[in-house]
Amino acid sequence: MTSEFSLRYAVPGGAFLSFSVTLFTLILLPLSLFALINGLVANMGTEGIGGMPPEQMQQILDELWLYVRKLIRYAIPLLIIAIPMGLYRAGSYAKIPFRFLFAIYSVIIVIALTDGGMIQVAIDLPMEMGSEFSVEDMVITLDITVFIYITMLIGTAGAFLAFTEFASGRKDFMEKKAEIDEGPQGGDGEPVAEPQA
Amino acid sequence: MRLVYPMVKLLHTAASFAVMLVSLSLIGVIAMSVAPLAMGGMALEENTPFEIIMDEETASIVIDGSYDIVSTLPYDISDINASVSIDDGKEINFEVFSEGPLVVAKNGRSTLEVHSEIFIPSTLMMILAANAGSEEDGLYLPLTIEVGGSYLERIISVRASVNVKAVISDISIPPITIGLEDGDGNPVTSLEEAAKITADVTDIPGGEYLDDLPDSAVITVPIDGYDVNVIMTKTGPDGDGNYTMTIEIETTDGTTLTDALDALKAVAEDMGEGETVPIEIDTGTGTETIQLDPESVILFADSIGTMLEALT
Repeated sequence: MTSEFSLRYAVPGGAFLSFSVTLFTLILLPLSLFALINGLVANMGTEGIGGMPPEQMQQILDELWLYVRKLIRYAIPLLIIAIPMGLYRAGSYAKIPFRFLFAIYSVIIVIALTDGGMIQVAIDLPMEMGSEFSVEDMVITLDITVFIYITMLIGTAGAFLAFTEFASGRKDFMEKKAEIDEGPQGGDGEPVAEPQA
Repeated sequence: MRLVYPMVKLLHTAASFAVMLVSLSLIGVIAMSVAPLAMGGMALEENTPFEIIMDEETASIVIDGSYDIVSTLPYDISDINASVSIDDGKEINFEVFSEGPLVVAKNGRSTLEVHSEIFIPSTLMMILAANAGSEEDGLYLPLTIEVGGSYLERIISVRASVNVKAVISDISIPPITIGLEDGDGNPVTSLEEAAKITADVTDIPGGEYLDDLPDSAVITVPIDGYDVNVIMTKTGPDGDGNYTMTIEIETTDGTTLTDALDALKAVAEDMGEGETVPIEIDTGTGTETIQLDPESVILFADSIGTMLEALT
């Protein structure tokens, strides 16, 4: 009896789709948005935004770039998990661990990226405010802990969808498996249970 | 058995739909509530202009101001607070003003009253403590301004902390000479043994602030049967227009300064509401008695202690 992890039951197109969606969502989209913001700020020239000098804007952009780099670094394992997650069909045992891991790791990324919901932006730029005051540095703390808790709950619930998806697609998968096992060129036919990215 | 499989399919569809719905709702609520905030749904209106005045009667620097926080946001802003501290990030950390928590209702307004009184000698001690040994040019008071608030039932909270230097003078403090004596007048090296400290600052160029200071000021603080005297003497200007400042802090019965300051804080901590400590100030034109509340007494004792540590 062939294991359900065998590539005989895999869908290469699903792997490609899953990989592409993850690549676009977690790497290409953040990079494009950052490039867009960077370009807009560069076009502001020496005027600045809302009284904020360009040097200060650049510091905020540097902080943002750190977050984007962090996201890309954290997303690499997720890209790797996305391949087998899309590769195996819904309803197979092989899909469960990857789908579950994908959701749990996504939650971990959200927690790590936001430092558990306490995002700190430090702007260390001496700035004169008239002759009487000079600003040394500024720390802005954004507390979105509650939002992160809710996201964690949603993410964890999403992880358990791996099991409902398995139960839901099991019958179709078994039929497809039997078809592949019996047929001379099994696996080329239309998949019964579509893999989800 | 035939019904089990459709039920499982339905369960998976419903669960997927629920997770998607909750996610979209969360994104929607955040977007709809944060967008007005980003588009300027909040404004600060000045009721009475911000001012810093010297109150000679109470020998205090009085900070006053009143602002209205006006919101056109769809949700209440809660836990609004604002504070100002004298804080150098090291030894000095004294809260000067704190207000909050305030709530600004949706499409409403709330008033933020800024009021603080600081005993002038405490401020002088802190300026000295902050600048003693500093290699930077000029004389300054390090301040930390903090403002914060929560929005959307506390799902989002923001706090900004800004470190500001209030520039007092462009002129730096020249090197300070320190002398420590015990209760018998013998020189000692440790602050813990000292009952008197003398700090001499020479060759201070004259300027707006120094010219306005009286030639001498004696502050007498009574503590359980003895006094702590803070004597500030200004001499000059000399031929080059420079002044010499001498600050002496001593106990009248030889108690060590650290013990005296601890005792003063203990007295203040034991005081009831409405009780005050009478502090005498003699600036050469007569003696005035200032009544200090327990908070100001603790601040005064802490500022002396911090200054002593900074100088030694």
